[in-house]
Amino acid sequence: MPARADATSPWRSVLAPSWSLGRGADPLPTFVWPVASAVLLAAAWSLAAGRFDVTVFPSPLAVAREAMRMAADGTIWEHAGISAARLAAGFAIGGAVAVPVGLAMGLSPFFRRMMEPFTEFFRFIPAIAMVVFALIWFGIGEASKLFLIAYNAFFSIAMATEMGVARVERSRINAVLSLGGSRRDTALLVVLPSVVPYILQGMRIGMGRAFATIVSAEILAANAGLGYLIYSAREFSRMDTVVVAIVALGLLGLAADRAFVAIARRLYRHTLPEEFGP
Amino acid sequence: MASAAAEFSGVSKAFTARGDAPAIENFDLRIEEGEFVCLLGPSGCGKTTALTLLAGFDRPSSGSVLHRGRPVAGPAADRGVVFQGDDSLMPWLTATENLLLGPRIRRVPLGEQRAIAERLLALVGLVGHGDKYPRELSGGMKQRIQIARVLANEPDMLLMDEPFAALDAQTRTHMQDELVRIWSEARPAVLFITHDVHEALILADRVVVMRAGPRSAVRTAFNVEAPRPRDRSDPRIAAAYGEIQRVMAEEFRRARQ
Repeated sequence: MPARADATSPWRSVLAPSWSLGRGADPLPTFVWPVASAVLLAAAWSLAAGRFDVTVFPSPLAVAREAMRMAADGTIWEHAGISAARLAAGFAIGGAVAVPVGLAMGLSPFFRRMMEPFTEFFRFIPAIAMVVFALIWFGIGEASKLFLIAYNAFFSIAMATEMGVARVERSRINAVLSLGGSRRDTALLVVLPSVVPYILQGMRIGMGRAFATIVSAEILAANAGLGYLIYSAREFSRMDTVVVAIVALGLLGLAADRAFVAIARRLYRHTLPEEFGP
Repeated sequence: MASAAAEFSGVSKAFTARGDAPAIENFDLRIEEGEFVCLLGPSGCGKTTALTLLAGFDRPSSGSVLHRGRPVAGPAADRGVVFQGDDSLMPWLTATENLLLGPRIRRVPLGEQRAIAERLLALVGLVGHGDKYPRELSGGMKQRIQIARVLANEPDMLLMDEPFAALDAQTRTHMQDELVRIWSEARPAVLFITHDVHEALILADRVVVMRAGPRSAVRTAFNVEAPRPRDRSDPRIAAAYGEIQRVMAEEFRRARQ
């Protein structure tokens, strides 16, 4: 059986690292390109940074030094760990709400018509706009931060789920009905497995949105986390710290995405239908 | 009179959402128990509409559709449907899992399910392919799985909507022979839709030709007396072919007007 991520699979853009997506065969090993672009970026960055003060535009060397210091004394791990835990919890809450809501919207035209005005409106409102309400409603503790992350992850997951239900192959439902299946059987045997790849795709996008929320979530009433670090370091003009936190956030996101794809591939090797595209 | 396997009387079906003329109007057709009927007609003549009503996927606008004397209230396991393409197979299930959907829904014990799968894979000539997924099977193999999936329910009626239309000529001929063999064993009543005159003559006890749509109904019917398995070069088949082809050509012309 061909591997899922081979060049002809419609899955490759979902399941393969994005930098391996090329037209035609790539003669170089896959790690060459990201390394090359990182070196190029560092070179350009060094040149540019030489013209500014460290409090305006820190050089790669200054950032590397700061990264070493934060890694050695453990602060970066502590902040990253707290943000990761928050993201995981907020994402899980958002997904746990979004999947049933998306399924219900897809299955019930009534529910969809009732929900759509809200989903269509609020998905354009960024988490930062909701920070004040989050604090008033959920207090200064963890709940308000989880709310903001869940809020932002919710929309893409719910909408992808709803779209997945709408795209269920009609003849598969008819097949199950004419094999003696009930409505419940069609939901379990056809709709749910058909929707899985849409939910996974929505989750991947939702995870990106959750990450994009972390700074907003940790902007107020937080004393740890990468978002907090970015925001508080700014007040001391520690731009090197800001860059370290940004890089850590990006790497954390990349790792989370890779892990998510690897798990999805393992769990749904056969459940994922072939026709599903990016 | 004993009740027929299926009976359409005065059936009309209009798709009101589209506001068009009814696809079929005053459609009458009786299918006897164990009879193999091919419904033939130009595209857009409402063949599939008739099948959909008997399957129970849709309701007639007027008239009655009976299965063994009882009005069709919805889809049920006693009328197995073989769909045109292979979209109706679950791509996330293996061939065996696909063909066991009916028994699984009926909560047949697992040991019995294994026996059913073994018997049916042998019947449709797919021994050794049970663990493959649909995307790993050829078009002909996928249609056999669809047929096996329906047979697993032992329906008294088979509804087949151009099941071999997407296959290459060689595979199609082979599948027709296989279908005749399978049908001779189980003897369900069959409503088989096609626009291929030859296919109808190889398969059917009776070939029913529909008029061009809209407002289509049965134009005429031919009994095919030749014994099975039929030889495609049988002079009786050739003679019937000429006659049906002439009627079909007329309807095709009308369809284009």
